[in-house]
Amino acid sequence: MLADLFRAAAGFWRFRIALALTLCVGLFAIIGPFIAQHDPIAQFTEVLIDDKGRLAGPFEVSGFWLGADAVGRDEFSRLVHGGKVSLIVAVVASSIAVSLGLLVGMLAGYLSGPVDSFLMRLVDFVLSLPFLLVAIALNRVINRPDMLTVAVLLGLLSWTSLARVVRTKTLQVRRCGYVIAARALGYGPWHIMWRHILPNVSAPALVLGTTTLGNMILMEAAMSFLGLGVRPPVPSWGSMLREAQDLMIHAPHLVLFPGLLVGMAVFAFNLMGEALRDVLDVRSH
Amino acid sequence: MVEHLIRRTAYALFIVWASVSCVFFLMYAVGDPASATLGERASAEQLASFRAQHGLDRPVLSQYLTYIGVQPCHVRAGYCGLLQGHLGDSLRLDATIASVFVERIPRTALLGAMATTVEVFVGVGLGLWAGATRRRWVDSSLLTFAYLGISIPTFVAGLIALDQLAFRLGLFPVGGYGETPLEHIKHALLPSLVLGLLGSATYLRLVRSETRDLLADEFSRMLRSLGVSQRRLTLRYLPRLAVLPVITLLGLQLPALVGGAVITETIFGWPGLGRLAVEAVYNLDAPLVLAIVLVASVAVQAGNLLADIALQLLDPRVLRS
Amino acid sequence: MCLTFAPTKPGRSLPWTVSPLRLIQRAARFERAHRQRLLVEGQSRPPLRTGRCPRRYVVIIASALVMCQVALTGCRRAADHPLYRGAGHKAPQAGGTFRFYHETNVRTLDPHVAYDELSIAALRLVYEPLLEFGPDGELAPGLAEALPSLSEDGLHYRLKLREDVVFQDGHPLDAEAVRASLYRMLAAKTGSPAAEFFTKVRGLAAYRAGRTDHIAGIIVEDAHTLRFELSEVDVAFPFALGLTFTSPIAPSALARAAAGERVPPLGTGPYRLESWERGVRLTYKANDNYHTPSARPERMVFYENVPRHLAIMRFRNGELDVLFSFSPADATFFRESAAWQPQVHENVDAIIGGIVMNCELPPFDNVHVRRAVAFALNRERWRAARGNSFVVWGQPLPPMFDGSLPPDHPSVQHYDLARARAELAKAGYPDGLPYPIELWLGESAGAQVSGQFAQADLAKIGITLELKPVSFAVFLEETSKRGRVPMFFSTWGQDFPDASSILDPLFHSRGIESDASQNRSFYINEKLSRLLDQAHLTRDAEERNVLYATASKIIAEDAPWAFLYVPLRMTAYQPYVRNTTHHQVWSHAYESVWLDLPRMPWTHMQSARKAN
Repeated sequence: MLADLFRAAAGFWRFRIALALTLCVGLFAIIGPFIAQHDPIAQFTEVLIDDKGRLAGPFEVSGFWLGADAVGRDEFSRLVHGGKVSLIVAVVASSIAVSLGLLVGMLAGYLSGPVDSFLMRLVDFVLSLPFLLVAIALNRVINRPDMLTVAVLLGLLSWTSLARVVRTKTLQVRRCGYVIAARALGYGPWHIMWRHILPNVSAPALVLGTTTLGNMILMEAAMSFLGLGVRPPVPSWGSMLREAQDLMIHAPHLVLFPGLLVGMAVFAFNLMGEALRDVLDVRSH
Repeated sequence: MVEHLIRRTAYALFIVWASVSCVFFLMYAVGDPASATLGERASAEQLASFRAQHGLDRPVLSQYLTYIGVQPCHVRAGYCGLLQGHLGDSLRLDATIASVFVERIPRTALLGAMATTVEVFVGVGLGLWAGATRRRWVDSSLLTFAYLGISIPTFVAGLIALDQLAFRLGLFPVGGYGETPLEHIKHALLPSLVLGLLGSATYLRLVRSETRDLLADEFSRMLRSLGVSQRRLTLRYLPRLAVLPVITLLGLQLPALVGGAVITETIFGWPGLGRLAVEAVYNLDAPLVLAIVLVASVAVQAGNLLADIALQLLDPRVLRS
Repeated sequence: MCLTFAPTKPGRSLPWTVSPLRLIQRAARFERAHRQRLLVEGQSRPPLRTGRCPRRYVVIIASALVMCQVALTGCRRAADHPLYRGAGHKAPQAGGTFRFYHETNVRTLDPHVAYDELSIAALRLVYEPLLEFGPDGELAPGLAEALPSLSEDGLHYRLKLREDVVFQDGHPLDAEAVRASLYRMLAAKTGSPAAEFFTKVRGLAAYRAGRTDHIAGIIVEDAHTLRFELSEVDVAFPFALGLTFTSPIAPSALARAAAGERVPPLGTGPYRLESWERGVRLTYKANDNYHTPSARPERMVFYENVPRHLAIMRFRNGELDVLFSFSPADATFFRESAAWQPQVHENVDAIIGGIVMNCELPPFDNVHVRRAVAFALNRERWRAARGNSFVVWGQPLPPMFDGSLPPDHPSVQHYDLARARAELAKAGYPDGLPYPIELWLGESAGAQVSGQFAQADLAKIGITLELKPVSFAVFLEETSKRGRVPMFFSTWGQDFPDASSILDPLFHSRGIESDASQNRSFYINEKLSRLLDQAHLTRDAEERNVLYATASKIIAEDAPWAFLYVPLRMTAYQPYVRNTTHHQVWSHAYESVWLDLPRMPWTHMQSARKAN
């Protein structure tokens, strides 16, 4: 099925470019760590910071292509390893969001009645919570600032829009002949949802899931910016932005590099989402 | 219609209650406000008297009931009696929450309103243009802009704009709030431009696709058959139909706006609710956090309700479905 | 989407109703009337093509590149010199507005409650304590005519007040007003954090418990004389009279406070509060009835909520008159810039910073492990990387205190990797600790950077650290409880310039409590506690210094803290701000400042001359 999708999509220029960009970002984060010569955590204070406290810029010290970060570590290594962390967080968070969204959406749409109204109430409730405040407070309660916590937190707070879309789609599919037929044949709700409804709602889920990937990268960056991201010294693009914030006037490239990579990754995933929307002919609203 | 409204309002109140309660227990789980408020030099005796004064030494359920206002409150300070209309006192700032809100809410609202104005006008205008134009490069550039807007984190754009436009070029004041109403607007200009331009991308994409659909629709064909030019069609007739989804989106975007205020206000040093909210959560100023959550969720629900009503009034199709 | 052309009832629709049908009806009518302008349009837009690479993406890439270029190189270079200079007056000038700032919100202007740096900075312009601290931390008579006189037995302090002082509400300052103010401050209901400094005042406990309505140890002798009676000798007591908590509040304001209102800011200070727009700014105007007239700015403006990255931009733009928050890179910039360099002052702060180890939790119950940590930290390396923003300091008392050891004293902690390894081996861990240890720290970027330094240094001797950034609130609560946090970053500043203000709370065993401990390293050394108690009773200064030096030596060797640094307080002023002073106790001390106005634009000639 994926192969079919790929073949169908390959004709679209938008898809090709999105794929190329995604590959760029992905390879940067996956292969990059093998290319980077230095440990992203090791501090090369003696080499990269002079007596007066000036940081080495890009291409000033051989072997350190992008110069030093605020603590005298290799900026390039941190960028590639940070990419890995950011992408993992994004992927885990979106997987959680997509699975939850699919489950809730299908359950609500197919079972309707009290289940539906309860689940939709839950959706409204989660939507009305002030995201960042709740994230900060939850983070305090869990009190374990690592990759997994951040990912789970993001996933748990961002499945709602997908659930709504899936529910609407399920409501449409439910009225179709083959679902009614399956029900008449005596198949249970789980079977029908798994075999007949899931294939029909997977297209919008795929499209929204791809866009969510981009959003999760942005959210991770925002959380890190507020100091709620991964545990230092683990690098992520968001935490690098945070550490560089103070150096804005003096070393703008330290803000720019991770900022640009975040932008590029989000751009790639959004474009990919749009391309898939074209290919799969999913209506946006 | 009236019955529908009543049902919607009741539902909105339920959601507000649920979020406030949820945050109440969350804040309780986070930790004890006493040591956070009194600082590192507080003695055990001071901590105990603070807890007693604010009713923090009672079981959580009883604290919750007094907060909601079901149980009578027997402490003077602190927080109790939400149903009776008391927001309580901030633990950290020497002020009532009501007086803090009177000052802060207009500030956040001003920034939000200006940002939304930019967002909607730029988004709808460019969206119509991109949807109706036949020049592919115009469409391409506008879409590019939209994609960039969605992809760039607000705080990166905000920091760069502050450094380049405000500090180096001196086109805008460097953050802050100003003294007179006119100055407030002047100081809000840069943040609302950054927020608005980045945020307009969502509207642009929506209006663009809506416009395209409408142009390909029987409706436009009918108008064209009446002899309406493309220009007149897009400038005069399409906007009225294309804004309908914008109104829904406006309602849906309110939470994002409230949440976004946290980061924007931190970057631009805007003395509104968002910055205060973060400070309050960090310092475990529970009454203040709860009051902010209350205001935020009321705003969000009210936004949704208003969008709902507006749609009912503007689009007869909604009523029928 | 397929529009349904639903007929709408004409009566109920608004004029703006946008039913497609009605719109078309209206359009038809309208267009018929303007028939001459009609153009016949072609068919609808062609479908999306997929053949050629759309130009859109070229545009995207090009514009991204342009934006990078702009962000990297900048539209314009910012000036590396001040924008304004002074008019060149020699004699102090009165008038003008002095503008300073802070990063967060002022919590309160009640001098009896305020204990944070920010609130104290805001209220010190309006209020004055009974005694003052001079710039070097020495006690000076403030509202008193002279320093308090001490009786033979060391228990009675007599304080004679100045007779020419008037409150801002017009009431003259007398002993009765001061007494009333002190009573309010010390009442349990007020919740003042200062009570612990006055515990030795006779009869305080009874008053706080509500058993009496007067304090036996605070006696009004005549209209302008007060006597304090202590229950035991305390050499450090006069310092407590210099804290802002002792500031007298005007009687009319006290009356309103008693009625349950908030205290209106009415003190005896050089400025009166004109307006306070909460969260934005406090504006002060010079108090014309101030007892010691001098040439000073007519107004002070205190901006709240100016984060660090904005403060530096606004200062360089000439919108703020003083800058005190520097990132390491900012500090380097100001030191390197020839034009700015004379405007920058760096002074050692009376704060000690280090890593606290919980002496009750393994492995830090073993003194050798603690010493190993203290020797393993390469403090000089940190200093370079943090923009030389501190002085390396391996002992509990900052350098300005009597009783601090000379930096080359053998007991002072310092970086010595071999010794660190030896100590760890002595503790029974020749190959390093077999398990990781949590190091708690604050959430600021700076704290996290320091944490990463410590992590790298201790890894060299085989101690693995796990960094745990927590919010300040959680940090405070957890570190004060017994047996919770093994290791954390901490700083401690003086309340008043006396060694007891640092050593007593941090290292005396009395400071340990199971719930709200001040002694957060849970370090118990009875010999040290006795030494510290003895110092309070010792009235001979020399003898006292020896006691504190011995205490410093014991603490440095036992290493409940790995002492790291004493921060440098860096302050930059605009060139037209004159007669600035560094104050050892107060971080915002602008009372001597005058402004050399009108300010003139900075010229390049001048900057060249200065460079030469």
